[in-house]
Amino acid sequence: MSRRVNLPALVSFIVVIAVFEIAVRLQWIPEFLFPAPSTVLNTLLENPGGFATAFFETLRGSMVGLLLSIVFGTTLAVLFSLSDFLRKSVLPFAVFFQTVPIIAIAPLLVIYFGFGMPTVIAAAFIVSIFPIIANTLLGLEGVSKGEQELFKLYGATATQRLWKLQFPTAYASIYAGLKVSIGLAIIGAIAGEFVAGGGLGAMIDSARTQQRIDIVFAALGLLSIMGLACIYLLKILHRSLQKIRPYGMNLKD
Amino acid sequence: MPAVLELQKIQKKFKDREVLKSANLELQEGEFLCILGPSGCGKSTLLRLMAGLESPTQGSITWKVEKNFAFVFQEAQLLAWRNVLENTRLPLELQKKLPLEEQNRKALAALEKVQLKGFQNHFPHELSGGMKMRVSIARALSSSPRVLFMDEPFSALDEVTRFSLQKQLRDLCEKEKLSVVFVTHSTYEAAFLADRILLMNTQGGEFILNEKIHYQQAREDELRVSSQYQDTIARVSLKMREAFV
Repeated sequence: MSRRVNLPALVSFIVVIAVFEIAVRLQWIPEFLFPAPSTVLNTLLENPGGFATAFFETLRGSMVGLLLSIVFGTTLAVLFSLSDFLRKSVLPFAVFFQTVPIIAIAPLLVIYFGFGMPTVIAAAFIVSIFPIIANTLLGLEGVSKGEQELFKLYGATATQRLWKLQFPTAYASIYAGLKVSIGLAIIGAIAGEFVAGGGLGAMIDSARTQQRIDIVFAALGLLSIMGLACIYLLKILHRSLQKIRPYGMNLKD
Repeated sequence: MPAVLELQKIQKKFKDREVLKSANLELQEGEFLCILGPSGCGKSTLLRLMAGLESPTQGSITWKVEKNFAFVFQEAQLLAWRNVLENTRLPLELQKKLPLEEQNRKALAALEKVQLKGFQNHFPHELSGGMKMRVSIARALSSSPRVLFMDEPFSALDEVTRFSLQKQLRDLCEKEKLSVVFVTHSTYEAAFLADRILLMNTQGGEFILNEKIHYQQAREDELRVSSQYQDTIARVSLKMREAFV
Protein backbone atom coordinates (compact mmCIF):
# COMPACT_ATOMS: atom_id res chain seq x y z
CA MET A 1 0.00 0.00 0.00
CA SER A 2 1.37 3.36 -0.99
CA ARG A 3 1.61 6.07 1.63
CA ARG A 4 2.32 8.74 -0.97
CA VAL A 5 -0.17 11.52 -1.65
CA ASN A 6 -2.90 10.51 -4.09
CA LEU A 7 -1.58 12.71 -6.92
CA PRO A 8 -4.47 12.30 -9.42
CA ALA A 9 -6.99 13.32 -6.72
CA LEU A 10 -4.87 16.31 -5.69
CA VAL A 11 -4.45 17.50 -9.29
CA SER A 12 -8.15 17.17 -10.10
CA PHE A 13 -9.04 19.01 -6.86
CA ILE A 14 -6.72 21.91 -7.75
CA VAL A 15 -8.06 22.01 -11.32
CA VAL A 16 -11.72 22.11 -10.19
CA ILE A 17 -11.00 24.85 -7.62
CA ALA A 18 -9.10 26.88 -10.22
CA VAL A 19 -11.87 26.48 -12.82
CA PHE A 20 -14.52 27.65 -10.34
CA GLU A 21 -12.36 30.56 -9.19
CA ILE A 22 -11.91 31.72 -12.80
CA ALA A 23 -15.55 31.05 -13.75
CA VAL A 24 -16.87 33.14 -10.84
CA ARG A 25 -14.34 35.95 -11.31
CA LEU A 26 -15.19 36.17 -15.00
CA GLN A 27 -18.88 36.10 -13.97
CA TRP A 28 -19.68 32.96 -15.97
CA ILE A 29 -21.37 31.71 -12.79
CA PRO A 30 -23.26 34.23 -10.60
CA GLU A 31 -21.65 34.56 -7.15
CA PHE A 32 -25.00 34.26 -5.33
CA LEU A 33 -25.24 30.69 -6.66
CA PHE A 34 -21.64 29.62 -6.28
CA PRO A 35 -19.09 31.66 -4.34
CA ALA A 36 -15.49 31.82 -5.52
CA PRO A 37 -13.25 29.38 -3.57
CA SER A 38 -11.19 32.38 -2.40
CA THR A 39 -14.36 33.96 -0.91
CA VAL A 40 -15.12 30.71 0.95
CA LEU A 41 -11.57 30.67 2.30
CA ASN A 42 -11.90 34.30 3.44
CA THR A 43 -15.18 33.49 5.20
CA LEU A 44 -13.42 30.66 7.05
CA LEU A 45 -10.54 32.93 8.04
CA GLU A 46 -12.88 35.71 9.24
CA ASN A 47 -14.41 33.50 11.91
CA PRO A 48 -12.03 30.60 12.56
CA GLY A 49 -13.12 30.18 16.20
CA GLY A 50 -16.81 29.92 15.30
CA PHE A 51 -16.15 27.38 12.57
CA ALA A 52 -13.80 25.36 14.78
CA THR A 53 -16.37 25.20 17.61
CA ALA A 54 -19.09 24.10 15.18
CA PHE A 55 -16.72 21.58 13.56
CA PHE A 56 -15.85 19.90 16.84
CA GLU A 57 -19.46 19.91 18.00
CA THR A 58 -20.53 18.03 14.87
CA LEU A 59 -17.53 15.75 15.16
CA ARG A 60 -18.42 14.95 18.78
CA GLY A 61 -22.08 14.27 18.00
CA SER A 62 -21.30 12.04 15.03
CA MET A 63 -18.52 10.11 16.75
CA VAL A 64 -20.52 9.45 19.93
CA GLY A 65 -23.41 8.29 17.71
CA LEU A 66 -21.01 6.07 15.75
CA LEU A 67 -19.53 4.63 18.93
CA LEU A 68 -23.01 3.72 20.19
CA SER A 69 -23.73 2.13 16.81
CA ILE A 70 -20.58 0.05 17.07
CA VAL A 71 -21.45 -1.14 20.59
CA PHE A 72 -25.13 -1.87 19.96
CA GLY A 73 -24.72 -2.94 16.32
CA THR A 74 -22.00 -5.46 17.12
CA THR A 75 -23.91 -6.81 20.12
CA LEU A 76 -27.04 -7.24 18.00
CA ALA A 77 -25.06 -8.92 15.21
CA VAL A 78 -23.59 -11.40 17.70
CA LEU A 79 -27.05 -12.15 19.12
CA PHE A 80 -28.47 -12.58 15.61
CA SER A 81 -25.65 -14.95 14.69
CA LEU A 82 -26.40 -17.05 17.79
CA SER A 83 -30.18 -17.18 17.48
CA ASP A 84 -32.10 -17.71 14.29
CA PHE A 85 -35.32 -16.87 16.12
CA LEU A 86 -33.97 -13.54 17.30
CA ARG A 87 -32.70 -12.69 13.84
CA LYS A 88 -36.04 -13.46 12.20
CA SER A 89 -38.01 -11.55 14.83
CA VAL A 90 -35.80 -8.45 15.24
CA LEU A 91 -33.75 -7.97 12.06
CA PRO A 92 -36.71 -6.79 9.92
CA PHE A 93 -37.17 -3.92 12.41
CA ALA A 94 -33.49 -3.04 12.20
CA VAL A 95 -34.02 -2.55 8.47
CA PHE A 96 -36.32 0.32 9.51
CA PHE A 97 -33.22 2.31 10.44
CA GLN A 98 -31.87 1.91 6.95
CA THR A 99 -35.03 2.76 5.01
CA VAL A 100 -36.61 5.67 6.92
CA PRO A 101 -35.07 9.02 5.90
CA ILE A 102 -33.46 10.58 8.94
CA ILE A 103 -34.73 14.04 8.04
CA ALA A 104 -38.30 12.69 8.37
CA ILE A 105 -37.80 11.39 11.91
CA ALA A 106 -35.47 14.13 13.14
CA PRO A 107 -38.40 16.29 14.40
CA LEU A 108 -39.58 13.31 16.45
CA LEU A 109 -36.12 13.01 17.99
CA VAL A 110 -36.32 16.64 19.16
CA ILE A 111 -39.59 15.82 20.92
CA TYR A 112 -38.03 12.76 22.58
CA PHE A 113 -34.56 14.06 23.38
CA GLY A 114 -34.93 17.85 23.35
CA PHE A 115 -32.75 20.44 21.64
CA GLY A 116 -28.98 19.94 21.54
CA MET A 117 -26.51 17.10 21.60
CA PRO A 118 -28.73 14.12 22.63
CA THR A 119 -30.86 14.50 19.48
CA VAL A 120 -27.75 14.89 17.31
CA ILE A 121 -26.24 11.73 18.81
CA ALA A 122 -29.52 9.83 18.37
CA ALA A 123 -29.74 10.87 14.70
CA ALA A 124 -26.13 9.82 14.04
CA PHE A 125 -26.77 6.53 15.82
CA ILE A 126 -29.95 5.69 13.90
CA VAL A 127 -28.37 6.34 10.52
CA SER A 128 -25.09 4.53 11.16
CA ILE A 129 -26.18 1.37 12.99
CA PHE A 130 -27.57 -0.68 10.10
CA PRO A 131 -24.36 -1.13 8.06
CA ILE A 132 -22.62 -2.21 11.26
CA ILE A 133 -25.27 -4.82 12.07
CA ALA A 134 -25.48 -6.09 8.48
CA ASN A 135 -21.73 -6.26 7.82
CA THR A 136 -20.79 -7.71 11.20
CA LEU A 137 -23.48 -10.38 10.85
CA LEU A 138 -22.31 -11.21 7.34
CA GLY A 139 -18.74 -11.55 8.58
CA LEU A 140 -19.60 -13.62 11.66
CA GLU A 141 -21.48 -16.06 9.43
CA GLY A 142 -18.74 -16.13 6.80
CA VAL A 143 -16.73 -18.84 8.56
CA SER A 144 -15.95 -21.76 6.24
CA LYS A 145 -17.40 -25.19 6.93
CA GLY A 146 -13.90 -26.64 7.35
CA GLU A 147 -12.94 -24.09 10.01
CA GLN A 148 -16.22 -24.69 11.83
CA GLU A 149 -15.54 -28.41 11.86
CA LEU A 150 -11.99 -27.86 13.07
CA PHE A 151 -13.32 -25.99 16.10
CA LYS A 152 -16.02 -28.61 16.63
CA LEU A 153 -13.46 -31.42 16.59
CA TYR A 154 -11.45 -29.80 19.36
CA GLY A 155 -14.53 -29.13 21.46
CA ALA A 156 -14.45 -25.32 21.25
CA THR A 157 -17.04 -23.48 23.33
CA ALA A 158 -19.36 -20.88 21.75
CA THR A 159 -17.27 -18.10 23.31
CA GLN A 160 -14.02 -19.55 21.95
CA ARG A 161 -15.60 -19.87 18.52
CA LEU A 162 -16.79 -16.27 18.65
CA TRP A 163 -13.48 -14.70 19.72
CA LYS A 164 -10.96 -17.03 18.11
CA LEU A 165 -12.75 -17.71 14.83
CA GLN A 166 -15.83 -15.64 14.02
CA PHE A 167 -14.61 -12.13 14.91
CA PRO A 168 -11.21 -12.52 13.20
CA THR A 169 -12.98 -13.92 10.11
CA ALA A 170 -15.46 -11.03 10.21
CA TYR A 171 -12.71 -8.39 10.30
CA ALA A 172 -12.93 -7.45 6.61
CA SER A 173 -16.72 -7.10 6.73
CA ILE A 174 -16.62 -5.09 9.96
CA TYR A 175 -14.04 -2.76 8.44
CA ALA A 176 -16.19 -2.27 5.32
CA GLY A 177 -19.25 -1.55 7.51
CA LEU A 178 -17.31 0.99 9.56
CA LYS A 179 -16.17 2.84 6.45
CA VAL A 180 -19.80 3.26 5.35
CA SER A 181 -21.05 4.09 8.84
CA ILE A 182 -18.51 6.87 9.44
CA GLY A 183 -19.92 8.89 6.55
CA LEU A 184 -23.49 8.09 7.55
CA ALA A 185 -22.89 9.16 11.17
CA ILE A 186 -21.77 12.59 9.96
CA ILE A 187 -24.84 12.86 7.70
CA GLY A 188 -27.06 11.85 10.65
CA ALA A 189 -25.43 14.39 12.95
CA ILE A 190 -25.98 17.19 10.42
CA ALA A 191 -29.64 16.20 9.99
CA GLY A 192 -29.98 16.20 13.79
CA GLU A 193 -28.36 19.63 14.05
CA PHE A 194 -30.77 21.06 11.45
CA VAL A 195 -33.62 20.50 13.89
CA ALA A 196 -31.90 20.41 17.28
CA GLY A 197 -29.32 23.15 16.77
CA GLY A 198 -25.56 23.28 17.26
CA GLY A 199 -22.58 22.38 15.10
CA LEU A 200 -22.09 22.85 11.39
CA GLY A 201 -25.68 21.74 10.70
CA ALA A 202 -27.16 24.69 12.58
CA MET A 203 -24.59 26.97 10.95
CA ILE A 204 -25.66 25.82 7.48
CA ASP A 205 -29.34 26.23 8.38
CA SER A 206 -28.83 29.72 9.73
CA ALA A 207 -26.66 30.77 6.75
CA ARG A 208 -29.37 29.50 4.40
CA THR A 209 -31.94 31.85 5.93
CA GLN A 210 -29.48 34.77 5.57
CA GLN A 211 -28.58 33.84 1.98
CA ARG A 212 -24.93 33.48 3.11
CA ILE A 213 -23.97 30.90 0.55
CA ASP A 214 -20.27 31.38 1.33
CA ILE A 215 -20.86 30.15 4.91
CA VAL A 216 -22.79 27.14 3.57
CA PHE A 217 -19.89 26.23 1.28
CA ALA A 218 -17.32 26.79 4.04
CA ALA A 219 -19.29 24.43 6.31
CA LEU A 220 -19.62 21.86 3.51
CA GLY A 221 -15.87 22.01 2.94
CA LEU A 222 -15.27 21.38 6.63
CA LEU A 223 -17.69 18.44 6.57
CA SER A 224 -15.79 16.90 3.67
CA ILE A 225 -12.54 17.31 5.59
CA MET A 226 -14.16 15.70 8.64
CA GLY A 227 -15.33 12.67 6.64
CA LEU A 228 -12.00 12.25 4.87
CA ALA A 229 -10.03 12.62 8.09
CA CYS A 230 -12.15 10.01 9.88
CA ILE A 231 -11.81 7.51 7.04
CA TYR A 232 -8.08 8.19 6.81
CA LEU A 233 -7.75 7.57 10.55
CA LEU A 234 -9.60 4.27 10.16
CA LYS A 235 -7.21 3.27 7.35
CA ILE A 236 -4.20 4.09 9.52
CA LEU A 237 -5.64 1.94 12.31
CA HIS A 238 -6.25 -0.89 9.85
CA ARG A 239 -2.71 -0.70 8.45
CA SER A 240 -1.17 -0.58 11.92
CA LEU A 241 -3.16 -3.65 12.93
CA GLN A 242 -2.15 -5.47 9.76
CA LYS A 243 1.49 -4.94 10.61
CA ILE A 244 0.93 -7.01 13.74
CA ARG A 245 -1.48 -9.58 12.28
CA PRO A 246 -2.75 -10.18 8.74
CA TYR A 247 -6.44 -9.57 9.50
CA GLY A 248 -8.59 -9.07 6.39
CA MET A 249 -5.61 -9.79 4.18
CA ASN A 250 -7.42 -9.44 0.88
CA LEU A 251 -8.86 -6.03 1.70
CA LYS A 252 -8.24 -3.29 -0.82
CA ASP A 253 -8.58 0.31 0.24
CA MET B 1 -2.64 -56.40 17.11
CA PRO B 2 -5.59 -55.27 19.25
CA ALA B 3 -8.34 -53.21 17.64
CA VAL B 4 -8.56 -49.50 18.28
CA LEU B 5 -11.84 -48.78 16.62
CA GLU B 6 -14.69 -50.91 15.34
CA LEU B 7 -17.50 -49.97 12.99
CA GLN B 8 -20.43 -52.32 12.69
CA LYS B 9 -23.19 -52.27 10.09
CA ILE B 10 -22.89 -48.57 9.49
CA GLN B 11 -25.65 -47.06 7.41
CA LYS B 12 -25.62 -43.41 6.41
CA LYS B 13 -28.39 -41.66 4.54
CA PHE B 14 -28.42 -38.03 3.41
CA LYS B 15 -32.17 -37.42 2.99
CA ASP B 16 -33.16 -40.22 0.59
CA ARG B 17 -29.66 -40.93 -0.70
CA GLU B 18 -28.04 -43.91 0.94
CA VAL B 19 -24.28 -43.33 0.90
CA LEU B 20 -23.32 -46.25 3.12
CA LYS B 21 -25.45 -49.38 3.28
CA SER B 22 -23.79 -51.59 5.85
CA ALA B 23 -20.11 -50.81 6.33
CA ASN B 24 -17.98 -52.87 8.71
CA LEU B 25 -14.43 -51.92 9.59
CA GLU B 26 -11.84 -52.56 12.23
CA LEU B 27 -8.77 -50.42 12.74
CA GLN B 28 -5.81 -52.15 14.38
CA GLU B 29 -3.37 -50.49 16.73
CA GLY B 30 -0.42 -48.94 14.87
CA GLU B 31 -1.96 -49.78 11.52
CA PHE B 32 -1.82 -47.47 8.49
CA LEU B 33 -5.15 -48.11 6.79
CA CYS B 34 -5.87 -46.58 3.40
CA ILE B 35 -9.45 -46.37 2.18
CA LEU B 36 -9.35 -46.16 -1.57
CA GLY B 37 -12.20 -45.51 -3.93
CA PRO B 38 -13.56 -43.26 -6.67
CA SER B 39 -15.02 -39.82 -5.91
CA GLY B 40 -18.45 -39.94 -4.32
CA CYS B 41 -18.21 -43.56 -3.11
CA GLY B 42 -18.63 -42.55 0.55
CA LYS B 43 -15.05 -42.94 1.80
CA SER B 44 -14.90 -39.38 3.21
CA THR B 45 -18.32 -39.88 4.82
CA LEU B 46 -17.00 -43.01 6.52
CA LEU B 47 -14.00 -41.07 7.85
CA ARG B 48 -16.21 -38.23 9.07
CA LEU B 49 -18.42 -40.76 10.86
CA MET B 50 -15.38 -42.17 12.66
CA ALA B 51 -14.38 -38.66 13.74
CA GLY B 52 -17.89 -37.80 14.91
CA LEU B 53 -18.39 -35.07 12.32
CA GLU B 54 -21.43 -37.01 11.08
CA SER B 55 -23.76 -39.39 12.90
CA PRO B 56 -24.65 -42.78 11.44
CA THR B 57 -28.26 -43.41 10.49
CA GLN B 58 -27.81 -46.93 11.86
CA GLY B 59 -25.00 -49.07 13.21
CA SER B 60 -22.39 -48.63 15.89
CA ILE B 61 -18.93 -47.08 16.21
CA THR B 62 -17.01 -48.45 19.16
CA TRP B 63 -13.71 -47.16 20.48
CA LYS B 64 -11.75 -50.03 22.01
CA VAL B 65 -9.23 -47.66 23.56
CA GLU B 66 -9.50 -44.14 24.95
CA LYS B 67 -10.96 -41.89 22.25
CA ASN B 68 -8.00 -39.78 21.29
CA PHE B 69 -7.77 -38.72 17.66
CA ALA B 70 -6.96 -35.84 15.35
CA PHE B 71 -8.27 -35.02 11.89
CA VAL B 72 -6.38 -33.66 8.91
CA PHE B 73 -8.60 -32.10 6.26
CA GLN B 74 -8.18 -32.01 2.49
CA GLU B 75 -7.20 -28.36 2.80
CA ALA B 76 -4.79 -27.19 5.48
CA GLN B 77 -7.49 -25.04 7.19
CA LEU B 78 -4.97 -22.70 8.79
CA LEU B 79 -6.27 -19.50 10.34
CA ALA B 80 -4.73 -16.65 8.32
CA TRP B 81 -4.38 -14.28 11.29
CA ARG B 82 -2.48 -16.75 13.48
CA ASN B 83 1.18 -17.57 12.97
CA VAL B 84 2.48 -21.11 12.56
CA LEU B 85 3.01 -21.64 16.29
CA GLU B 86 -0.44 -20.28 17.17
CA ASN B 87 -2.07 -22.43 14.49
CA THR B 88 -0.22 -25.50 15.73
CA ARG B 89 -1.20 -25.00 19.37
CA LEU B 90 -4.88 -24.32 18.53
CA PRO B 91 -6.20 -27.73 19.72
CA LEU B 92 -4.37 -27.33 23.05
CA GLU B 93 -5.57 -23.76 23.39
CA LEU B 94 -9.19 -24.79 22.83
CA GLN B 95 -8.93 -27.73 25.22
CA LYS B 96 -7.48 -25.42 27.91
CA LYS B 97 -5.87 -28.29 29.82
CA LEU B 98 -2.29 -27.02 29.73
CA PRO B 99 -0.66 -23.68 30.60
CA LEU B 100 0.40 -21.56 27.62
CA GLU B 101 4.11 -22.36 28.03
CA GLU B 102 3.41 -26.08 27.89
CA GLN B 103 1.14 -25.57 24.86
CA ASN B 104 3.94 -23.74 23.07
CA ARG B 105 6.47 -26.41 24.00
CA LYS B 106 4.24 -29.16 22.61
CA ALA B 107 3.47 -27.14 19.48
CA LEU B 108 7.18 -26.54 18.85
CA ALA B 109 7.88 -30.25 19.32
CA ALA B 110 5.14 -31.06 16.78
CA LEU B 111 6.62 -28.54 14.33
CA GLU B 112 10.00 -30.18 14.71
CA LYS B 113 8.44 -33.53 13.82
CA VAL B 114 7.24 -32.14 10.49
CA GLN B 115 10.57 -30.37 9.91
CA LEU B 116 9.20 -26.87 10.34
CA LYS B 117 11.42 -25.78 13.17
CA GLY B 118 12.27 -22.11 12.72
CA PHE B 119 9.02 -21.26 10.92
CA GLN B 120 6.94 -20.73 14.06
CA ASN B 121 6.61 -16.96 13.57
CA HIS B 122 5.58 -17.12 9.91
CA PHE B 123 1.99 -16.51 8.87
CA PRO B 124 0.16 -18.95 6.54
CA HIS B 125 0.36 -16.60 3.52
CA GLU B 126 4.15 -16.80 3.74
CA LEU B 127 4.18 -20.60 3.34
CA SER B 128 4.01 -22.93 0.33
CA GLY B 129 1.15 -25.43 -0.09
CA GLY B 130 3.30 -28.28 1.19
CA MET B 131 4.42 -26.32 4.25
CA LYS B 132 0.82 -25.38 5.05
CA MET B 133 -0.12 -29.05 5.00
CA ARG B 134 2.82 -29.86 7.27
CA VAL B 135 1.56 -27.22 9.74
CA SER B 136 -1.85 -28.85 9.52
CA ILE B 137 -0.27 -32.23 10.38
CA ALA B 138 1.73 -30.61 13.20
CA ARG B 139 -1.50 -29.12 14.57
CA ALA B 140 -3.03 -32.60 14.55
CA LEU B 141 0.02 -34.04 16.32
CA SER B 142 0.18 -31.30 18.97
CA SER B 143 -2.59 -32.90 21.01
CA SER B 144 -0.67 -36.24 21.04
CA PRO B 145 -3.38 -38.33 19.37
CA ARG B 146 -3.24 -42.10 19.08
CA VAL B 147 -5.36 -42.16 15.93
CA LEU B 148 -5.05 -39.90 12.91
CA PHE B 149 -7.86 -39.46 10.40
CA MET B 150 -6.72 -37.98 7.11
CA ASP B 151 -9.06 -36.96 4.30
CA GLU B 152 -7.10 -36.76 1.02
CA PRO B 153 -4.61 -34.34 2.59
CA PHE B 154 -2.13 -34.36 -0.29
CA SER B 155 -4.54 -34.25 -3.23
CA ALA B 156 -4.01 -30.55 -3.97
CA LEU B 157 -0.21 -30.70 -3.91
CA ASP B 158 2.28 -31.10 -6.76
CA GLU B 159 3.87 -34.51 -7.27
CA VAL B 160 7.30 -33.76 -5.81
CA THR B 161 5.80 -32.27 -2.63
CA ARG B 162 3.27 -35.09 -2.42
CA PHE B 163 5.93 -37.82 -2.65
CA SER B 164 8.06 -36.09 -0.05
CA LEU B 165 5.14 -35.65 2.37
CA GLN B 166 4.02 -39.25 1.90
CA LYS B 167 7.45 -40.45 2.96
CA GLN B 168 7.60 -38.04 5.91
CA LEU B 169 4.13 -39.07 7.04
CA ARG B 170 4.88 -42.76 6.85
CA ASP B 171 8.12 -42.30 8.87
CA LEU B 172 6.34 -40.14 11.43
CA CYS B 173 3.49 -42.59 11.94
CA GLU B 174 5.90 -45.50 12.40
CA LYS B 175 7.97 -43.52 14.86
CA GLU B 176 4.96 -42.28 16.85
CA LYS B 177 3.17 -45.64 16.56
CA LEU B 178 0.05 -43.91 15.30
CA SER B 179 -2.98 -45.70 13.93
CA VAL B 180 -4.03 -43.95 10.73
CA VAL B 181 -7.10 -43.99 8.52
CA PHE B 182 -6.10 -42.29 5.29
CA VAL B 183 -8.69 -41.62 2.59
CA THR B 184 -7.43 -41.27 -0.98
CA HIS B 185 -8.44 -41.85 -4.57
CA SER B 186 -4.86 -42.48 -5.66
CA THR B 187 -3.79 -46.11 -5.98
CA TYR B 188 -0.13 -45.00 -6.05
CA GLU B 189 -0.53 -43.12 -2.77
CA ALA B 190 -2.37 -45.98 -1.07
CA ALA B 191 0.18 -48.55 -2.28
CA PHE B 192 3.05 -46.46 -0.88
CA LEU B 193 1.50 -45.60 2.47
CA ALA B 194 -0.75 -48.45 3.52
CA ASP B 195 -0.30 -51.46 5.74
CA ARG B 196 -3.76 -52.41 4.51
CA ILE B 197 -5.86 -51.16 1.61
CA LEU B 198 -9.62 -51.17 1.65
CA LEU B 199 -11.14 -50.60 -1.78
CA MET B 200 -14.64 -49.19 -1.65
CA ASN B 201 -17.36 -49.89 -4.18
CA THR B 202 -18.90 -46.97 -6.09
CA GLN B 203 -22.08 -47.12 -4.02
CA GLY B 204 -23.18 -48.45 -0.68
CA GLY B 205 -19.83 -48.42 1.08
CA GLU B 206 -19.10 -52.09 0.47
CA PHE B 207 -15.41 -53.08 0.49
CA ILE B 208 -14.48 -55.09 -2.58
CA LEU B 209 -10.85 -55.50 -1.60
CA ASN B 210 -9.23 -55.83 1.81
CA GLU B 211 -5.55 -56.43 1.29
CA LYS B 212 -2.57 -56.28 3.62
CA ILE B 213 0.46 -54.64 2.07
CA HIS B 214 3.93 -55.72 2.99
CA TYR B 215 7.14 -54.80 1.24
CA GLN B 216 10.59 -56.24 1.70
CA GLN B 217 12.02 -52.79 1.07
CA ALA B 218 11.63 -49.82 3.40
CA ARG B 219 9.09 -47.13 2.44
CA GLU B 220 11.68 -44.95 0.77
CA ASP B 221 11.64 -43.29 -2.65
CA GLU B 222 13.34 -46.38 -4.16
CA LEU B 223 10.21 -48.38 -3.35
CA ARG B 224 8.31 -46.50 -6.06
CA VAL B 225 10.38 -48.15 -8.80
CA SER B 226 10.40 -51.62 -7.26
CA SER B 227 8.55 -54.48 -8.90
CA GLN B 228 6.73 -55.30 -5.64
CA TYR B 229 5.25 -51.81 -5.51
CA GLN B 230 4.34 -51.91 -9.19
CA ASP B 231 2.69 -55.31 -8.69
CA THR B 232 0.60 -53.98 -5.80
CA ILE B 233 -0.58 -51.06 -7.94
CA ALA B 234 -1.35 -53.39 -10.84
CA ARG B 235 -3.34 -55.72 -8.58
CA VAL B 236 -5.38 -52.96 -6.97
CA SER B 237 -5.91 -51.17 -10.29
CA LEU B 238 -7.11 -54.38 -11.90
CA LYS B 239 -9.62 -54.86 -9.11
CA MET B 240 -10.77 -51.26 -9.58
CA ARG B 241 -11.19 -51.74 -13.32
CA GLU B 242 -13.16 -54.95 -12.81
CA ALA B 243 -15.46 -53.20 -10.36
CA PHE B 244 -15.93 -49.75 -11.85
CA VAL B 245 -15.50 -49.92 -15.61
